[in-house]
Amino acid sequence: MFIDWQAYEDGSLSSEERAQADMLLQTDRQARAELDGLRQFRSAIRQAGQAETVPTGTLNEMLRRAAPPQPRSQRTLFLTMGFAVAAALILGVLVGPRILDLAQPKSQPTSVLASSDPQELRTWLISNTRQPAPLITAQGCGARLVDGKYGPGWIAWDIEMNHQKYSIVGKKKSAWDMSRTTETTYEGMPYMLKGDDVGWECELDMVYFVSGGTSQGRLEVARAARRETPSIIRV
Amino acid sequence: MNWFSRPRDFEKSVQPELAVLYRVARRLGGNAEQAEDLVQTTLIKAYQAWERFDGRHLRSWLIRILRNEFLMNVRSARPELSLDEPEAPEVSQDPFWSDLAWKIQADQLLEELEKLPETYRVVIQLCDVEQLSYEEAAEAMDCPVGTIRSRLFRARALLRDRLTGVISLTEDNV
Repeated sequence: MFIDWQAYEDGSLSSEERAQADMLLQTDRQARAELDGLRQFRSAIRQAGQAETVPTGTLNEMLRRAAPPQPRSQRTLFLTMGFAVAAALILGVLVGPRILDLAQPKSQPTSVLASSDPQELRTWLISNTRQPAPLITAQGCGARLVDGKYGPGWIAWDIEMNHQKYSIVGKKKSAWDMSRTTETTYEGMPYMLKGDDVGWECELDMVYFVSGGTSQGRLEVARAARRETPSIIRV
Repeated sequence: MNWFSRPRDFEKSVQPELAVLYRVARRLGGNAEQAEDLVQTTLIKAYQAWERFDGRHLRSWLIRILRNEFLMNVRSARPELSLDEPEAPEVSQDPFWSDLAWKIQADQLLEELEKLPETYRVVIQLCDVEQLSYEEAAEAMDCPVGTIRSRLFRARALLRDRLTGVISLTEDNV
């Protein structure tokens, strides 16, 4: 008699089949050995699978990054916003005249630095262009910085996410052709669409667009980078 | 769900599932770094969709996101690759669970498991390693319960055959 011992273990035998199997188990040593063998197999594979090394610390850190901190209190928020406005005004006076003379369309880069270190890229961009640059880490969407670059009137970061390459290009709003831009919202925030590219506007009249990769990826990169672009006022 | 409590709830709920997600990511294929990338993307997607989660079978929900991400990556990286159900490999019909010497080392078991087609090694990972019920595994794999049952039957038999050397398949024809 053939008994499907996996079905027996899974509880998917009919009551009649199960009764036959139970009877066989009482009388047939080979049947008991079969069932024991299956159970040992499942136990062995479970133990082997669960014994694999898991990078717990890294995964916990990823989880913390995926779930941003809770909103700050109204008072803290008010103070922070007040400070940001004051800083923007001061910076507007001090560095406004030499902030990004980004009147040219994107052209061949003057220089490129390959690095995944956001601070290194930012320092390099600022020291070479003598202009403020945001600290784009691109980590909020699980991406990795590949390089930073600049040219006449523009700065850009290349990043990689899910084996896809994306570019984040920043220019003065007046330097972009905004005639064919449409508006959309993602996660409650407004974005601009220019062809396939996703953009947003931030301080100092700057506009950034994300290109490359997938449509969903562009939205995610834009969402993550948007949070970081206001830091331009802290230069 | 109160938005203000969302991050804490998410972190608290998902933290116990991290190891499972990582192991399933490894089983889907790729090295440790790729598995970490896949888990990270899954966590971001899960957080974005957290308010839409119905509260049932968190583990299945997370694995489903992870698997969808994996399939998206595979499709974009290798568009020529078929993601259809693999042709069912031939397995021995004779019952011989008892014939196996269950003193096989864990690394041997995992090595042979890795050689199975993705569909089969994942169903073993979900049902035998992570001990999901058929219903949970079906939800994670986005397929009927009956499909999980038949895949698991075949996957175990295939692994058993590999371990006993009844059939010798090369990596190329699996």
